[in-house]
Amino acid sequence: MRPEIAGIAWSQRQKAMGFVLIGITLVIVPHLMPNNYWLRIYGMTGIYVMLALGLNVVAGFAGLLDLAYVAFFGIGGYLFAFFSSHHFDIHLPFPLVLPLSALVTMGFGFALGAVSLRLKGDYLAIVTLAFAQIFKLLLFNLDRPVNITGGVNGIFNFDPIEIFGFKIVSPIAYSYLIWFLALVVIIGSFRIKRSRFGRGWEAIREDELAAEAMGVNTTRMKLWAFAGGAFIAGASGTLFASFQDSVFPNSFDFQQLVVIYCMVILGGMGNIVGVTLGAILLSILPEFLREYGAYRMMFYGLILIVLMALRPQGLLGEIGFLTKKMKRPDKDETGVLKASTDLYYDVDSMKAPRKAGYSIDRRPILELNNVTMNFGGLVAVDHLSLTLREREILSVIGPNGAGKTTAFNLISGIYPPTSGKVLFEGTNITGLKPHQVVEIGIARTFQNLRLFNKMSVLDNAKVSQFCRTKSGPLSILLRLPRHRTEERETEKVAKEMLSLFGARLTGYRFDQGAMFLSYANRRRLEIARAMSTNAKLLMLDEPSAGMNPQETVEITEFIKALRDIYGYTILVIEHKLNVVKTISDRVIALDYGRKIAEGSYEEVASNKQVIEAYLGRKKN
Amino acid sequence: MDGTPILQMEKVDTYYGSIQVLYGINVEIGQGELVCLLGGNASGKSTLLKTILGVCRPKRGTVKLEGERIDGKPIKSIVSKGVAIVPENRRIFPRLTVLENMEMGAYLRTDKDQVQRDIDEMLTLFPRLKERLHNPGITLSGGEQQMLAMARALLSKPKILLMDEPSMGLSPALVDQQFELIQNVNRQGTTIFVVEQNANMALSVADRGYVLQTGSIVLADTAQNLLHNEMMQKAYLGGST
Amino acid sequence: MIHGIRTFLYPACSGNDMDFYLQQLPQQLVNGLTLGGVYALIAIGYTMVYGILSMLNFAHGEIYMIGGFVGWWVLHLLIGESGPVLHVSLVISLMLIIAMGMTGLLGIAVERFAYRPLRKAPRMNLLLSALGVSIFLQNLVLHHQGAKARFFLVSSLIPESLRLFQVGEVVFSFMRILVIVVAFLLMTGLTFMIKRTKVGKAMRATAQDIEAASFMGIDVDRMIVFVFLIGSALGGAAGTLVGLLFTQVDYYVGFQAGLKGFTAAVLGGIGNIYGAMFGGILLGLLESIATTFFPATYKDVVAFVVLILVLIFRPWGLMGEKVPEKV
Repeated sequence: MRPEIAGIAWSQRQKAMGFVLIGITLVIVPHLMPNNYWLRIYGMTGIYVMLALGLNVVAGFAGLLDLAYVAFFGIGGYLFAFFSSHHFDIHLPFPLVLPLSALVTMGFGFALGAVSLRLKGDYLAIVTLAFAQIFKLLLFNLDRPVNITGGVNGIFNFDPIEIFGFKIVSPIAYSYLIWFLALVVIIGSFRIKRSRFGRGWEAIREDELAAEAMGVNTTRMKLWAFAGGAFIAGASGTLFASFQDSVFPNSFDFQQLVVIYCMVILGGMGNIVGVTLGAILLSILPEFLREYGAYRMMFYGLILIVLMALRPQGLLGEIGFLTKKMKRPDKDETGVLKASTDLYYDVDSMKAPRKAGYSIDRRPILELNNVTMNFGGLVAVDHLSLTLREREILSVIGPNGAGKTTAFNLISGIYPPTSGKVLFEGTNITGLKPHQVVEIGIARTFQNLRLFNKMSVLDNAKVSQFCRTKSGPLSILLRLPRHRTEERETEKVAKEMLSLFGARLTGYRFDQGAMFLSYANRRRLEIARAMSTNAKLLMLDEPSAGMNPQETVEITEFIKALRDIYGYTILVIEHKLNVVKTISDRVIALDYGRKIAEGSYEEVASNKQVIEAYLGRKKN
Repeated sequence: MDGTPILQMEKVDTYYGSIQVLYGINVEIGQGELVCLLGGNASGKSTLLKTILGVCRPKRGTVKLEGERIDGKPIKSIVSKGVAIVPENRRIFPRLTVLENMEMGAYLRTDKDQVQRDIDEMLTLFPRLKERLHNPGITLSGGEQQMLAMARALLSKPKILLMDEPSMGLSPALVDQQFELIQNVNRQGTTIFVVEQNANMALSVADRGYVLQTGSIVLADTAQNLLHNEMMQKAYLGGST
Repeated sequence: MIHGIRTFLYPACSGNDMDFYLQQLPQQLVNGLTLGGVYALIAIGYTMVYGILSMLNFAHGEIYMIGGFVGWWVLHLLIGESGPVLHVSLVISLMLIIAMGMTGLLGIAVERFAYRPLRKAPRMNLLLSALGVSIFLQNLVLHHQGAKARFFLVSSLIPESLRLFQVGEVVFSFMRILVIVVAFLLMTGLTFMIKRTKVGKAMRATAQDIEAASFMGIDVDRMIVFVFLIGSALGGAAGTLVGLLFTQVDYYVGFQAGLKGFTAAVLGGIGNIYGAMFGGILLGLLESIATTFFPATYKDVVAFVVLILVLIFRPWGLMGEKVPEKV
């Protein structure tokens, strides 16, 4: 497997050369600075790079608009002041203070995350903003009656730091230290991005519900996002405090936050190279605009407005360097952009023989016992009971609004039923969260397709392996054997599932953004993604919707093969009754949330109640 | 049909982005007719109505109202020319009162006195609404909301009334009531174009019907003929039993 | 240390605590109503925009601030060496009208250039753009006017005898009465408009169901412009009133006031105009009463804590409706 950075494949040798080059640059550049002033700018740029990358974790990867981020920067700074100065007369050595501050700040990150878990989008932004304001207020006011924070003047005059005997006092020494750590953060960012954590976060950013439905523990991952960002911000703050030899409240205010956000957005949210460049650009640019004073902040404001209107994905885009391949929309063999909704189907062309009957002796794998879903007066599912046996394909049919998708949602845990039980392999799974349901072995697709659009085809499939892997941040960052093994396994499973669809989702398609696929391929990917969860039971919600007759035949054969060759048990919602006829062992029909017929296809399709449900009753 | 048809769609192709949803639609509706558009899921029914109303713009073809082209015009313009709609799920304004909902129906009209008279007429037609005149829309029962949505649409004195799946979300008893209402309104002179999934119900009140399948019109005939046409079952349930 | 904390929390701690608080109460009520009126005016702007576009107009606070500056400018123009050039009531009316007019127009401009292009964009983009507008406006004023506060020459405006008067235990000031009266009038006028006029009803309809409103032939874009016009104008009025009340304005007041106005809107139920009025007054009262217990520098914390608590435990506010998420 060739490691990839920013969408370009690098060989081992090229990578090593790259590192050497960067190393040499970092050693030389400080000496190229004309004077101390520019050396300090160089140092601050390094700190900004770290800060921006930390924000990139929580806002770029996970898509959480955390407006309290700058407070973590402040906490790290003040912690250094507490641990290494005369203020409290504590004098811990720097190699201890740095990780300690980072960890304590991370703790605050977890706390903020825990409080904000249920909030989305705008509300999350506002609540975090309120917390940041409280933080700043505390900084200003906690100097009476006991002087904790030093009030408006802050705290200054810290202990000089030294690492393994080397005293870090001169700006050049600080530059080395800061940029070394910045490099560590950059490498760490790449590692975490291409791990289950990075994929889990990006999935949450794209579609939190779908991520949860593919096995990602969204609650825990959101907490980790806050914590991860806080960790880096805390470390940056500690460095910053030592570098400036002071901390005061105005260094950690809203203006600072806006600057960091601009860096991340300008570079492209989630794009590590972009964010790094954005940070460097926006650290240096103001120096050239110094004489323009307040124009600086106006400029930042304008950047935000203009970027959002014209190029919200930032200068370098969110998916990484978009190669030409990724931009090309999907074309089928005929060369025409295939995305039709031709649904006319012809009975005679369905030539494949159908397997006879259904086996009564196979053990029940899924049971619904009198499940009811009442949405505040609207009964969407009404005392539904069904049994699904191993290696059976059960089709669910019924007119719009009959409760089919609601039943799926109940089984997959999106909301718990008002009453009744859902059992899987004998275990009661009623009320479990969706990611837990996935872990147990049930996976589903969505009627309206909920792919992770900006992620690649391969990554979409890899996300599903989240619940089958366990590596934590430490394993990932240190590339421990467990992580490497899990990554290999993840890739293997994902590629296997995708290759079941032939050339459509493999080869160069692996790296193509999901949003560039044709409609039919997107439906296929949705199924492949569900399969990659190592599920035993698949729930397919209108798998052939929008496909032309050719594609429909193909998907029909495929679903049958899933049962016959691969041993899946499948629950299908389908409207094309020809498809239902071909694949089903059994069929149940729903109307107004109730089961109105059950049996073989022939029995159900000729049932008067069913026909009436579809065509409607005649008028009285 | 005598005179210019109220509505004419010729060779209309509509796309959602790069996906084609309607293929060469030809529809004609004459003055005073009650015509229904039938089809199963994903047949394109809603898109067709949206194309008439101006929510979607056809890529090819024309839509004419009393001979005047309306395709490509903004919604406001089309509504002001005399197209009214009872949307799917009725969409009455939940926190406006019954009276205010009705006033919104007459929003574009400038003849205040006549509007008042028309409102009074509606209230005699729907006494239940009169009882609840100052209650917010959301407190109305399903049946009352039906009536309100209808009254609201009629208050614009439309040349043609579009109805998007009127049976959606209603219990069977209310569906009967709804179609009786539609029939009554049509008998009083309003031209109505109903999009409906419940074929039998719609055909039992309509004059004519079109059947849409995956974006193309596959059947067009009088309602009576359609009711007894075997192809209907095929179009809906796909294939013989 | 315990004693230190106690003094920190209860600055007025003494023997007759209860009496002291009760004595303070009427005064705090008046103060609270005054503040509350202002918060309500700001909150209305937030809630109207949220109701119709489901977006948080982050820049609203700056519009309030600019309203204050415009009011100051008008006052400055109309006060000569020997006092106001026109009658007091005329001066104040002109201040309000011009401030409201200009901020209304500013609001329309912001919608047109920063928000309309993003109608179909993801919410995060809209919020970030609003953030950008806020930063831009704040620093525009900073650049143009400097960081120092501008002072309202209120003393030359109001004759000595009318400035303060006492009724029982409570001290009233002319300005406080003015603020309460103007706020009340504006809110009444707004209520009348949205309840009785055709345009007002159309606005409510658009906020409740934007697509259905378009089906009625309502020009939805124009409704949105209208909402920004009114919401911003009310915010501008609030800015001028506060300037008169506290006799100063500076480039930074928008940020704080904006957050508080937003808190009030959320407290009452975002999207609900009556909720904004109610939330504003409630927040003003809460803040006022809190100053008896906490040191003045911490009074802002009240608003932030209320905001956090409401958003976490009851995000639909006191008068809003719980809306379940449809899958």
